[in-house]
Amino acid sequence: MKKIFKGLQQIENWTIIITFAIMVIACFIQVVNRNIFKIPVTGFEEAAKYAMIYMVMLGTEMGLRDGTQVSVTAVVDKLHGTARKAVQVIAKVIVIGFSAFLLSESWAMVLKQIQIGQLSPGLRMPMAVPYAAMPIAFALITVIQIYYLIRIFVPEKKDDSQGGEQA
Amino acid sequence: GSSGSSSSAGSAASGGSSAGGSSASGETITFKMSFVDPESSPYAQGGLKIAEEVAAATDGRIQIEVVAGGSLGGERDTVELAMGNNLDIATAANSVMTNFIPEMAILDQAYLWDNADQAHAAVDGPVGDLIEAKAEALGLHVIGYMESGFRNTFSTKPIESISDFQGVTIRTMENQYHQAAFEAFGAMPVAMSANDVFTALQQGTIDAAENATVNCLNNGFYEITKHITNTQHAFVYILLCMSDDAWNKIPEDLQQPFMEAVQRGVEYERDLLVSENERAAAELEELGVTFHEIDTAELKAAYQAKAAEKGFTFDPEWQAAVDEAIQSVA
Amino acid sequence: MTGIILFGSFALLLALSVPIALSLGVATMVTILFGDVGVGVNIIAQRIFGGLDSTSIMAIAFFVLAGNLMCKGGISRRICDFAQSLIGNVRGGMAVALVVACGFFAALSGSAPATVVAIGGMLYPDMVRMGYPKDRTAGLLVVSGGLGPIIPPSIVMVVYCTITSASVGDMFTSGMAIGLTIMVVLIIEVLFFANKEKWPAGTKRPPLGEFFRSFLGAIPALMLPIIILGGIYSGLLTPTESSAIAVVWSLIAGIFIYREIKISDLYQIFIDSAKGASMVLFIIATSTAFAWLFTYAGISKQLVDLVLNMHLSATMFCLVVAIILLIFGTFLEGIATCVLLVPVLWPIAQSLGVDVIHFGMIVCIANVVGTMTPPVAVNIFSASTVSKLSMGEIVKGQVPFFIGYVAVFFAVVLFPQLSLFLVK
Ligand code: NA
Ligand code: NA
Repeated sequence: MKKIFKGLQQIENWTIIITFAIMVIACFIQVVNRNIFKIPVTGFEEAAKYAMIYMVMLGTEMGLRDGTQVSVTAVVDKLHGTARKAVQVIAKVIVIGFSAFLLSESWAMVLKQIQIGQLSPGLRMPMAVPYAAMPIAFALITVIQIYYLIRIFVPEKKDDSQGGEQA
Repeated sequence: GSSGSSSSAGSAASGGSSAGGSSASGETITFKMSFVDPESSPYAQGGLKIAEEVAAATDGRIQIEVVAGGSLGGERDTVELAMGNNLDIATAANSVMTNFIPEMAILDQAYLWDNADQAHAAVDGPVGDLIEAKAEALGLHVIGYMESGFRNTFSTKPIESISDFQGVTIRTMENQYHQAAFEAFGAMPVAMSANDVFTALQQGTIDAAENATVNCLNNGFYEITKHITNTQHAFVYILLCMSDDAWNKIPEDLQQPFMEAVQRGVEYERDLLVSENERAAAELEELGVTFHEIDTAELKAAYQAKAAEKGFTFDPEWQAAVDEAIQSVA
Repeated sequence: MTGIILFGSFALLLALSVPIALSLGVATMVTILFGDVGVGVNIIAQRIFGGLDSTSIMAIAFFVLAGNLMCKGGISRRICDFAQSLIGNVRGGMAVALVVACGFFAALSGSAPATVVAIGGMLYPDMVRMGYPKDRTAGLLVVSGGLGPIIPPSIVMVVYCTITSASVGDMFTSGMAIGLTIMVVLIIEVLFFANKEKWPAGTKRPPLGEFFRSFLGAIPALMLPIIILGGIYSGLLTPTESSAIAVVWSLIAGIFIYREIKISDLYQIFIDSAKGASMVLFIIATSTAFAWLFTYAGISKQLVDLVLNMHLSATMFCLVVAIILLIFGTFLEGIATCVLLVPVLWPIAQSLGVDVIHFGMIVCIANVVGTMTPPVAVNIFSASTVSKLSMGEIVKGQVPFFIGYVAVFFAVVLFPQLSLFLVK
């Protein structure tokens, strides 16, 4: 189980790194081409943009997991004990519920894109491809946040350095 | 541009509920109509005219609220919103609609029409029928065709013959036919977000841009592009796409007056665009912009050679409809 | 009513510590479900995608990545060394060096918290060891970090220009003038407090050789603003591309010139940057949905009507906007404020004849002030990570510098020439 978890995270990390690298490289090639080679090829910007959508969606999953997504903790910081834990649980449940909702909505969007067959203007790529970033990320967010919700009640005996729980 | 503003034509359009459930006669129906361009643009002005005509033709039972400036989304997004019944009327250029209806690519070709009459005959006739059938399958009712008309080239250096295009870097729409056209002329087409175009022209990142003449004035490009060449290289329509839900809300007895009113508004916009282009041309000349004529037959031949080289082909049924429209005017 | 549900649920969600980005999305959903809007909840996912489907916001991801590369690649340390060798020798000299270093770093980075962490992490421990008061130093850091988004490049300026179609180049030029003004004000204040509160005397003036060594070391770092602005003004780069080139240059400087980044370090740098950039970009995405509903439900029109009925002059309008932005800035993240309010307020400003760059500077500075005002104050959070001081202690220390910053802000609001003299 833990192995699968680790393996998935590796895939996620590398997807983020590769998409971010594609953004930099595509923009760089565009600059070099326009100023030096002048080959009439376009579509770099579009490639960079759709890579960014994957990068942002997966980066958001990571940020939610380790608590780097900014939230206002002024009120929670004033609370202690059960009240504090209750608010934390409520916040988690809201995050999970909203992600599950967006998972189902964005999945429907992907199906709709497949059905209508919309193509991107530059690369002539099915728009279902960039849209798919959303259900993939929200599926991950839903599952992983449920895991952390459970861990609020059932703390693991040994921490597996998975980023830890967040407020 | 995407600065937002919202305004309602007619009196009953209070900001809010466009979903009115059933529409028994006597009840007012309000539709929201979205534009990416600002309220002062000919397109949004056309929208306001449609709102006025529709309100008059339906005794105020159908109201249209124009939301300009892109605050409800870009062209592509708002078409998707209309498909999902979350926006009543989206407006989008035909090149954007090509992403949804691939056969419409035939309209993206350079030098397809010899004059605006042919272009109008196509969408008001056989080509329009084909578009509307395809759109209906996507859950959209194309209720009218406004236009941004023939496009011209704005450049920092004068362009008077095809050889002047050599080495010119020009920002075009993300559209393979428009790009092929400028490639054929010897220019280098580049893709760039619309927000960057002004700075890019100013700094010399690009040498030229292209659009309807009135846009050169409205976007302030004339501060840098002191030359406009009447290349007339492509004709762009603005399709009015109504959602299924919105369409079904129109009571049967109002359908015909509604459509006729929309058509009157559309024709108003087409005329307005011509006069706005003329007004802009006069104003631009006063601002120090020089207009240049160019041998469009030569440009057309160059494009057609490039198109043959690239192997562009189109659906025969659509090609027949286009040919029919051309012959009907010739 | 719809507006009350939208903002009420948003405030409640924030109080429950739901991340800001999701609070915006959930508030939108709640309003669609319980308000009288007449759209389906499926617009939320569609608008989130629409918010991300934009080329101009790519610059944000690049500026974050470049910032992290500069931090890890030894660029910020070179800048601190150089600033110190310039002016470390007067009383409170290290504090002046801090302001100057923040100004230099701001010319490389687009964000305020990045500036706080990069410069604070280098200078704060040394300054405390030398005997500078902790709270004043951390407070000065919070306010000097505010130069980050004012001196170009700037993330919030890019967002503003995306919304209004203003020229990024002009905004950057204007930001340069205002940023230098703020630096001068802060330095004067530092010198005043250094004497009044008897801050440590300066270090010995470094020998000329030392000065040149630190200058040479800083050259690759100081090249970056030249590459960014020079690239834009020479026409080689669009503003969006300049941010990608900043990444490439930071990589070259960090790996090949300073040799402080190993290829294996890139893994973590990319992951951290992706997380940091996603935070901002996902807030933009969900606030696109929030702002869409704001317009669709007619709330923005009501707000516009309200302001128009006040029949304000251009100056008064700018003043009102400044105050609205400051209020929103206390509890909202800066980018979210910008995405939410600019589409509504700019058309009014335009109709009153306000210049797009002047209005943009008002929006940007107000945004930065928001990073210094609790409860949502990313600069204070960052300074607290660096200094281990509580929010309260830092706020106490920052008061005089904060007042100086806000004074410049109101000068910018009232005197358009301040923002425009370099542009026009
Ligand atoms: Na900056
Ligand atoms: Na704040």
